Amino acid sequence: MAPSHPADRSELTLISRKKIGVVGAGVTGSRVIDQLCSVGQNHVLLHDTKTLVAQRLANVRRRGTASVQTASWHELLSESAAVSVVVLSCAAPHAQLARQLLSAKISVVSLSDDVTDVLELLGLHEMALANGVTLIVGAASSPGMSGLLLRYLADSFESIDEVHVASHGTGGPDCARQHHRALSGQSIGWHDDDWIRRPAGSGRELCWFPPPIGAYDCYRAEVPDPLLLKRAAPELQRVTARVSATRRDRFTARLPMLAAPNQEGGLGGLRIEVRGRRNGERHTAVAGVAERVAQVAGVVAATTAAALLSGEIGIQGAHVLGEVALPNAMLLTGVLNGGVRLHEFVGA
Amino acid sequence: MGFIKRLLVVLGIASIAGAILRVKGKTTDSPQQGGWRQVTPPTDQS
Repeated sequence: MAPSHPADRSELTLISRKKIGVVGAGVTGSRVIDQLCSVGQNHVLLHDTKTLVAQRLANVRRRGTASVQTASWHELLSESAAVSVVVLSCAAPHAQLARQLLSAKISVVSLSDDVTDVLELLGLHEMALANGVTLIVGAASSPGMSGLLLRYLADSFESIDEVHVASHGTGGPDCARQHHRALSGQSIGWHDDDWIRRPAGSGRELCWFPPPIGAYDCYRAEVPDPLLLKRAAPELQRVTARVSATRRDRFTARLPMLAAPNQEGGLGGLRIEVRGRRNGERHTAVAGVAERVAQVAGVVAATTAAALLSGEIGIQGAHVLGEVALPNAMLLTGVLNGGVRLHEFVGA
Repeated sequence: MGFIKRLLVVLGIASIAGAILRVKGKTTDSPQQGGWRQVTPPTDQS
């Protein structure tokens, strides 16, 4: 029956605009689609600049009730596509794409891990507010999962003042290229009310990741985690981020990549160390995950997108995972239900 | 001669201090268990 009242018509429009778009048909994009389908989000529009790759992925994922269709960029933006949320899982930069999507009143989940790009995305806060939509910045593994773990650990403290993040491994080829670039730039860290910059590749620290990964030497890198974690928890006084690297990684960081990156990196890991006060005493808590990086990134992004679509994230503007205003516990539960196992270090 | 006396006094004091610490000092055993433990998903919907 056709709706007779204007209010009914608007409600019907809202219900029909229940599609999620995914930009990027790479390793992470395919994990995003897998997770969306597994939580019952069966209408997905997929876009990639390589049309053939997008069609192949859509054909593979189109089974049962799942409807994964390819779309051009303009189709994705059009009113008729009825897309409410778009996950940007392609290579950075995302800011320009996000700007177009926000203008079309489409909420955006960005997996960007490029510092400049992330800063530009955060600068779109006013634009997102003006269009009444939401932009989630850095909803991947690191950043992304790191924010969720920060909030998970922080909730068990009376107050927190230090966070130290370390990650190991890469997702798809674009992630591997970003890892390569990150080791040749300038790392950012928050230290006693000031941003400090240190050369990437310095500051070696042996970090223990959950089994079966174990210990790896980690170094400062140009990654956006400190920016986003500081935004998620403004009370922090010290924030650092490191990535694991070999001697060869550090030696060749300032050169072009000597060999093409693997299609997908092996098992990766993420660990976050939170320091603060618990029961009136100084306390340190460590949590981490051991999983393929693209899998973690895909599950985090898909869970966030599904929460946006269902209205569980109702706040507008640009936000980062781990902010108090977001339903972080619910998102973390969704991520863990997606097959990511959370570990906590005990006995220290 | 004075130098040797001072040296002997210093060594004597250091020996006594070391002996006191060795007898009276307490050592804490480093943790023999613990490590990474898998955590079940939190259930609250906050």
